[in-house]
Amino acid sequence: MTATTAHFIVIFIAVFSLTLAAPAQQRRTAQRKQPASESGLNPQQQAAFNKLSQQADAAREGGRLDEAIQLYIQALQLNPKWKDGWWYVGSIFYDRDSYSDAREALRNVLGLDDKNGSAWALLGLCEFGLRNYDQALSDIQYARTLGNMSPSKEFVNVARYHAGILMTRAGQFELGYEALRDFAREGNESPSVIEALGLNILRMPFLPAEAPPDRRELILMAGRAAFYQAARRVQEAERAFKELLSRYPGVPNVHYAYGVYLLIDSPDAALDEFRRELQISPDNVPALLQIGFEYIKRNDFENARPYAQKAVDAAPNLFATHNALGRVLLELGKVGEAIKELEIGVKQAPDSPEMRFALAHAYARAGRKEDAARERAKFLELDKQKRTERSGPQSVGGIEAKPADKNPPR
Amino acid sequence: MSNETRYHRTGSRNLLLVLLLLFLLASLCVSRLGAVIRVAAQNGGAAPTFEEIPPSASGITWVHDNAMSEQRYLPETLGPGGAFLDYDNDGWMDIYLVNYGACDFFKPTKPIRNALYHNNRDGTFTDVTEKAGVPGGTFGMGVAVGDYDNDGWPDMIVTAYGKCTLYHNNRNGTFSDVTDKAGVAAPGWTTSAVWFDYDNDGRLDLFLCSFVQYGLNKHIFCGDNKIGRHYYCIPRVFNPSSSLLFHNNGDGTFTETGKGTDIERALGKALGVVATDINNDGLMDLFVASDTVQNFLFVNRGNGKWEEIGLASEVGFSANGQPRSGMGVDAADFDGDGWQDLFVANVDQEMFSLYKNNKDETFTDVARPNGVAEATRLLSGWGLKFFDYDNDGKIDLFLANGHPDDMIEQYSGHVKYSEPLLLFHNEGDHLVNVSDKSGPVFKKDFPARGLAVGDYNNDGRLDLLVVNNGKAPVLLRNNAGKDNHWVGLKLQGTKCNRDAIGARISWSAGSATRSRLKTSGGSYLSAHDVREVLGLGKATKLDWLEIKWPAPSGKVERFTDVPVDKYTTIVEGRGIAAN
Repeated sequence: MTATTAHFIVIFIAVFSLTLAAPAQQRRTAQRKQPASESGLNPQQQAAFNKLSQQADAAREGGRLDEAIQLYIQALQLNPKWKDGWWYVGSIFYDRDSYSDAREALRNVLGLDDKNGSAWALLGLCEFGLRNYDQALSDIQYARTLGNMSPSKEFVNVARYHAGILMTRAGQFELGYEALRDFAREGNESPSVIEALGLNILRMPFLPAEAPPDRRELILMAGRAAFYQAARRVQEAERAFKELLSRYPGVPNVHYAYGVYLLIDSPDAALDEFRRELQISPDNVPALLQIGFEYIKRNDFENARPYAQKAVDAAPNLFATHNALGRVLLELGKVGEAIKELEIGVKQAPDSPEMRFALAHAYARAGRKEDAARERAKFLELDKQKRTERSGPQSVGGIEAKPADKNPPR
Repeated sequence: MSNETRYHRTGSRNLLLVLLLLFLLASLCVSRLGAVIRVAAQNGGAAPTFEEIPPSASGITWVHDNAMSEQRYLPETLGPGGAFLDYDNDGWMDIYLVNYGACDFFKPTKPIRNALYHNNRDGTFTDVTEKAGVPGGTFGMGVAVGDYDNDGWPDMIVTAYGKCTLYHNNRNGTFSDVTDKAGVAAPGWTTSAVWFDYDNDGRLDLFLCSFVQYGLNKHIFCGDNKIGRHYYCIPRVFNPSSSLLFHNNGDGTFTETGKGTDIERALGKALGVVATDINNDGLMDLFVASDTVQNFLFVNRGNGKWEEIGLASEVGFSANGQPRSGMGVDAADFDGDGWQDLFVANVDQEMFSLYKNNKDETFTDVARPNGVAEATRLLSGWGLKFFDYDNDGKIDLFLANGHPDDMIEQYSGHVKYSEPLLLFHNEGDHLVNVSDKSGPVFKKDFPARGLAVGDYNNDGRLDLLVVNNGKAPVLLRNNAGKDNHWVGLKLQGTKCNRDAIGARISWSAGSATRSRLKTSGGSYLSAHDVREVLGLGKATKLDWLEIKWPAPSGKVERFTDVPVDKYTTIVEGRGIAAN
């Protein structure tokens, strides 16, 4: 492709994008939908369009990608509402690492079909390529929420992998682990998966490409242990964690990672590992929370309290700490104080279903029925949304909205 | 040699043989006596609380075929259930067992069928399946027993992955498949079911739990691609569905009446159900356990209205706000305060929940202080039942467990596929785990699913039938509470439903006054002896017995001459029936 042609294409795409795409922060609510079939072309134009689109497809399938792009653009000049054309342009540019061009083309797809999961996912990958990591995560997660991405397993895996590493980078380690662990369960032992898992369980908020080089061995050892853990290869996981501990006993989050691994089958041993972690990093909030929540699980609220309190002291801006302390105080009969803590948590994380659930419970205990009902409604809405994002719409049950309540605003 | 000499030698040889035989016989007796003494010694000199009766003794030789395949199709791991019922009305509990069968993913290579065992009244059973016409033939899940036409003869609904089957009792030892005629041919995948009268018109209606949307074309590969192992998928990956409510029209047909109610709107993956009255308003409610989505508590508001309050009542989710893998359920007033409490079993790590009724349509999980949470941390529970196993008047609890994933031991150090049974004794103010004192069977592990409760030997002690996945069922004879007395009741409604589901029974004996609601359903995929056994403890006579018959009757009757340590039939409005 010549520079002039490329320049023209970019201008065309950008101009068309401006006419279709809503501003970035509103693009998920773009209302304009124009079915691709409604071309509005006269017969002559339709015939020309048909010819061009077929030639473009043939060029693409024949690997003549420069030619394909030119032909697609020509066809799109005739019929700018041809969604598939924009998709192919976007995906070809993506494959060539022309992320900016690809992004513009994909925005055109979404201008025509804003619930297209594949387009949102590919858009997110483009944003990743452009290092707009927050936007990338947002777009990919939205695509996963829609649940209608391309059936291509490879595509889904790429989206999932990027979701996993972006969530790790954003400090959403637990969610990132959920996205990455299925690779292990499927037997994918590739270095990129191992590295991603390692960063995740060590709670290092980096992309693999950003990882400190002097920590590479640590990351790979941790990643291998996490891989075996996720793949449910118990004996190998145990060995790998022991090797990791032996090699890096004083590194933050190594004991924590082992404790998380032990939590399911050996909760007492897990508590010991979390306490060891606290000896290395006394203000390790995840370790404090794990101990607190384990005692909560055991209905041992007296023992939970000091850990929950310390977690709040160490991380007063983290909603999970207020969740733990609020629940403890509630069960110890301090309803007013509990509500105060939980309200702080909700303010910090208004989209956390767990916070809403806990606050609803506290309000109910206090006899504040209307407040409790309100929080429950919010919990259900958020729970459905989060669960769909994580595991797909089929994972959500509960009461379906009555016909009059269908399609509530996002 | 003289004849006399030869004769003596022959006689000596015969005598030796006889002596040898006697010696062998004596040795055998001593050996068996030794075994009995050993078992008795383990139990402080008494027979075990629950004694395993082997197939060689009971005659129950049926074995469940779990169709386990390389692909690990999910229905394979969910069944089966079983029932105690008196199908021929001879006063003795018979047994029905549900098997799998042909479906889209399973083509049996040998004949497999359900089994109906007739109680021979001597501790043994005879297979009468073919004669009775109840072989099944679907990929059966469970069974619910109810006299839906009020003719005094129990009928059965057999649920399935595929079409369910309604067997009408012909009153002559046989049944007829009336599914289509009755209008209850529910497609899809039904699991537990319950007969109960939701509109108080005196006829049993039917609720069918519906699990996930599943089929060969919807099967998902869950497993390790690299080495090709398949696991049973967690139900989270399949679409939920609505359960079904059928109204009994009184003419042998049913009409689906869940549409437009919260029952239709509640999308779940339902596995267990119990009909009970959680708010004491005389209307039967439904507690439904759902797997990987919230549990549902459908409160009957009358006039066909149902309100789902699982979240608000705090039985829908865990304490963290997570849905769990709800499977078996039951309801009973375990703390004797006059309000129905609830129980739900989950999978490992989730712990089971014992929900105490707060008397205001909310519940509090008291599993932890009753030792249930800790005891069940690594277990997955299915069939379970509240019942008074030792006739001391207090409601105890039995849990049958087993992990759904047969691969679990490959990736868990502590969780096993086959799991132990658990027995909790009610000490008055809390439950105590007495499993390790209750017999050798509690030291064994089972892939248990269904659990039915019934007194098969009519000794007043409720026995158990544990139905295992892919294995033979286990019949447990109850030897507990030999010093305690009891009253056995068969309630027969005339204006209310014949099985008297919803009746409130109160009684006084010695210094104790107790009450009980006759619930329906409960456990998992299974059905129970329709009679009630009231434990009197050491009291040798019943001071009084009061029965409040359910609507539309509402009649309250009091009796003071109910015989103890035997079964008595009481007919609504007519008193104690002559035997």
